[in-house]
Amino acid sequence: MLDSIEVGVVSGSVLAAAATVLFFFGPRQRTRARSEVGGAQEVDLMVDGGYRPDRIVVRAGVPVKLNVLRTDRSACSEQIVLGDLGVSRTLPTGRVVTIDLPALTPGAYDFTCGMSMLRGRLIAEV
Amino acid sequence: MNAVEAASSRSPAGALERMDLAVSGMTCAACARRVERTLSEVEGVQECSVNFATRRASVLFDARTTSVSALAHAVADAGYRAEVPQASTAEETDAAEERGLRRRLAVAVLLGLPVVVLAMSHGALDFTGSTWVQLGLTLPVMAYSGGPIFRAAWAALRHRAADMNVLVALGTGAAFIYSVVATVWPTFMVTGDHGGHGGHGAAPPIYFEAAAAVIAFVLLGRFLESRARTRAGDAIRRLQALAPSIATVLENGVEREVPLAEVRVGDRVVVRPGQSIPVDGSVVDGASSVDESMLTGESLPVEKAAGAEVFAGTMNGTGRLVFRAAKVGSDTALQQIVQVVERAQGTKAPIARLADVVSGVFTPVVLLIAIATFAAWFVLAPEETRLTMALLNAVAVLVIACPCALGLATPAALMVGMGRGAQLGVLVKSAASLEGASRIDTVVLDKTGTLTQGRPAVVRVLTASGMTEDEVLALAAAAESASEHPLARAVVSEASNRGLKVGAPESFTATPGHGVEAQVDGRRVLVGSRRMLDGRGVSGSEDAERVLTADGQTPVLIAVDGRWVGAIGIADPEREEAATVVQSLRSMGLHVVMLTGDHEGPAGRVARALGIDRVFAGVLPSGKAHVVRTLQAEGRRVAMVGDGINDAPALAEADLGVAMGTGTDVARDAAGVALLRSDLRGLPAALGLARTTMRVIRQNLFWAFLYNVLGIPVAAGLLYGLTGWLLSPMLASVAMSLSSVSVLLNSLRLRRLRLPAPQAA
Repeated sequence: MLDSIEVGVVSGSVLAAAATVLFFFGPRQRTRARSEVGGAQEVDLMVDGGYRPDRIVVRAGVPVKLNVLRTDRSACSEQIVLGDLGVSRTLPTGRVVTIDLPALTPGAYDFTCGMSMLRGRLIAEV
Repeated sequence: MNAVEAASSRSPAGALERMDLAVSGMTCAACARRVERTLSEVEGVQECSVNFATRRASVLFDARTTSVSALAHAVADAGYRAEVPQASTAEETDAAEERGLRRRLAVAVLLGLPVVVLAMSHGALDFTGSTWVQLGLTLPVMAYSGGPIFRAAWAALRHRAADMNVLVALGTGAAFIYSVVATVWPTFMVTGDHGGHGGHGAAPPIYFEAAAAVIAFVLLGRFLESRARTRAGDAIRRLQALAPSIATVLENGVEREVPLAEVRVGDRVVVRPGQSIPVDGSVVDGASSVDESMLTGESLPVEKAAGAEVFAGTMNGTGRLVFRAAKVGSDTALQQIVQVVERAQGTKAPIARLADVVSGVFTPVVLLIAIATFAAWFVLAPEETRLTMALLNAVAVLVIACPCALGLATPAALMVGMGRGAQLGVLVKSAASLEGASRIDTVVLDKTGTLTQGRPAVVRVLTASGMTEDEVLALAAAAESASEHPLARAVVSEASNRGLKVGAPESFTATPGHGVEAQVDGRRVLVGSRRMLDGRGVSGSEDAERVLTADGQTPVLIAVDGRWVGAIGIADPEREEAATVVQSLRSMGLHVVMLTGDHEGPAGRVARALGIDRVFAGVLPSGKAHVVRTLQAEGRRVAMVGDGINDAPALAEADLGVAMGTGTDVARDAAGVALLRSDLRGLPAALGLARTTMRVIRQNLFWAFLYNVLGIPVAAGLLYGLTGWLLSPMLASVAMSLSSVSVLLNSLRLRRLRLPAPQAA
C-alpha cells in the first residue's frame, strides 16, 4: 500500500506530466501578418530561444516577407528551415534576415531550427 | 584595434565606410525616422537606414568628411544615444563568446573539483561546515558558469519550446535546490533519509557535486562542440568572404570606389593586380591571368583578355583589367554557388525524417520520462533512500538525454560534405540528391561532349607519295582559312598547333556540303568530300578514305592541281581522363553505359577502348530520356550525365541528373548535381562524396539513436533490478557531452575528401 507521501508524489507527478503535455503541445496564440506593403505582407519574427510569434497567420495568395531577427547566440537557433517551401537561411545574431516567400496556397507550413527542436508554423488562410 | 575600427567595413584604399551603430532611447517607429533623418543630414553620410526592431543604424559615410564620433554626437543632439556595438563582426563575437565560455568552464572546473573531491571522499575529508563550503563553491558555478544555460532555458520555456538547456537546467537546478534545502534546513529532509553516496552521519545527503560537475561537463562539451561547428561551416564562410566589399568603378575616365552593393549592371569596373574581382562581367580592356580555383576547382590560372568573362570572388593575377559588370549582387556566380550550397545544406535528407520527428518531441518526452522515473523510484525504493534515489535518477535522465546529437547527426554531415564538395567544384543541390547519388548503380554517359571533347579535331593525316603530313595540312589550312565550317576550323587549328606557316588563299569558293576550292601560291587546291573530288575528276583517294571511315573518322580529302595528295581524318577525340574515369566508376561497382547518336560500329570501338559495359547507339537527342526509362525498367538506379540544358529531359528522368561543365552557370535546375569544371573526374568524386557523406550520416544517426535509446533507460534505473546499475548524474553528463561532440567529429572527417590529382594542362 502506498503511504500518504507516496500518494502525494504520484498524484503530483501525474499532474506535472499533464501540465508538461499541455504546456508544450497545448493550443497557441496566433499572430496575423501585417497588411500588405507594396504587394507583400510582412511578418517580424524574433528568434530568442524560440520563435516569437510561433503561430503566424498570413493571407493565402499574397507573397510574404518574413523579417527574421535572431537575438540569442545558441547554436540551435542559427538556422531557420521552412522545409515545405525548400527555404533555409543562416541567421547571424543581431541582423535582420529577410526571407521572401512566394504567394502560398492555403495550408500550414512548419518552420524549424536546423535541428528541428524549435518549431513554429505559418498558416496561410484565404 | 579599438571597437570603432573593428566594426567598420574595411576598405583597402577608399574612404567609404559602412558602420552599424547601436541606437538606444528609441521608443517608437517615429523615433527611428528621426534618427535616420538626423544621421542623413550629417555631411559625408551617403546612406543611412535605421531599424527600429534591431535598434541598429546602418550608415555609409565618407571617412574623410565625417567620423563615427561626429555621427554619435549628431544622434545625441537629437536626444538619443548611438554607440559602436562591441565586437560587431561575427568572428569577433564568436571569439568573445569562446573566451567567455572558456572562463566559465575554468570557474566550473576550479570550484567544482574540490566539491567533487569532498563528496567522493565519503566522509574521509569531512570537517565541520563542509556542506556549507560545498554550497559556497557550487553557487558561483551555478550562477556564473551555468548562467547562460539557465537564461537560455528560460527563454525557451517562455516560448513553450524545449531544448537541451531546459533539460540541463532542470536537472542541475533540481540537484542544487535539493542540496541547498538539505544544507540550510537539514531537519526539513525528514526521517533520517540518508542513503546515497553523499550521506554521512545523521545529516541528509547533498548533491552539490552532481550539479557542479554536470555544469562543467556540459560546458566542456559545448566548448568542443563550438570549435567543431565553426570548422563545419568553414567552406561556405570562406566562399562568402571571397568577394571584396568595395569595388572600383570607372566613370568618365575617373576611378571611384563604391560599396559592392552599389555596382550596377553595365558599370565599368577596374581590377588592379592582386585584387579579387567584385562582380561578374566581361573584360573590355587589359589582360591578365585569373585564379578561378576557388570557384571551379580549376587549379591553373585562366588567361583573360578583352571579351573574356570574369567572375566575382576570383583573384586577379598580375595584369590590370577593366570589365563591364554583367551580374551583380545575388546574381553573381559566387553568390549563386553560396546560395545553392546553403539551400542544399538546409534541405532535409529523407533518411533524417525519423530523427526530425523525434527531435521535435524529444525534450517534452524526456521530461515525462524524468517525472515517471521520479515517481516510480519514490514508490519502489526503500523509504530511507527513496527521495535521493528518485531525485538522482530523474536528474540522470534529464542530463543524459541529448537531442543535440540527434539533431546534429544529419545537418552536420551535410554541412561539411556539401561545403567540401563546393570547394572541389561539385555542387549538390539538395540532401535528397545526395542521398539519391549514394544509391546509384548505373551511370549513363553521353558520348559527345561528355566522354569526348565535344569538338572535332584532326586525329590522323594520310598522304599520297611525295607529300609530307605538314605540307598537306598547310595547304588544306590555307584553303580553309576563310571557312567557318567546324571541320575547316579543326584543320586550321591543327595547322596552328603544329606551328605551320599557313598562307592566305588568293581566291576562295565554298560549295556547301561539298567543300572549298581555293588558289594558294598559284596552285588550285580542293578540300572536301569524295563528291567534290569526283565532280572535278580527281581519283585515287578511295583507300585512304576507307581506312579513316573504318576508324570512325570523317575524311577530308585534299587535291592539288587535279591530283589527290592526302586525306585528313577528323573525329571528336575522347577526353584525356575518360578511360581513367570509366575505370574508377567500374571499380566503385557501377554499371557504365554509353549513349550516342553514332552508328554502332564507331560507337562500339570507343566503348571498348574506354572499357564501357553497354552502348546505346543511334539514339536521337529526344530518345535519351527513353534510354534512361529503359534502364530504370530493368530495376537500375540511373545517374545521367549531360550538359544540363540539351539533356534536361533525360537528366530530369534519371534518378540523379549530373550536369557537367556548367562552369559558373550553376542555377541550371534539371540536375541534382552540378560539376563546375568540364572535367569528367568530378563524376566519381561527386558519387564518392555522396556515398561517404551518407555513410557518415547513417553512422551519426545510428549512434545518436542508440545512445539515447540505451542511455535514457539506464539512467532511469531500469537495469537496477537485474544488474544493480545506476548511472550517476555526473557520468550521465560526460556521456551526453561526448555524444554530440562525437557526431561532429565524425562529420568533420568529410573535410578530408579529395578529388583525384588535378589534371595537367
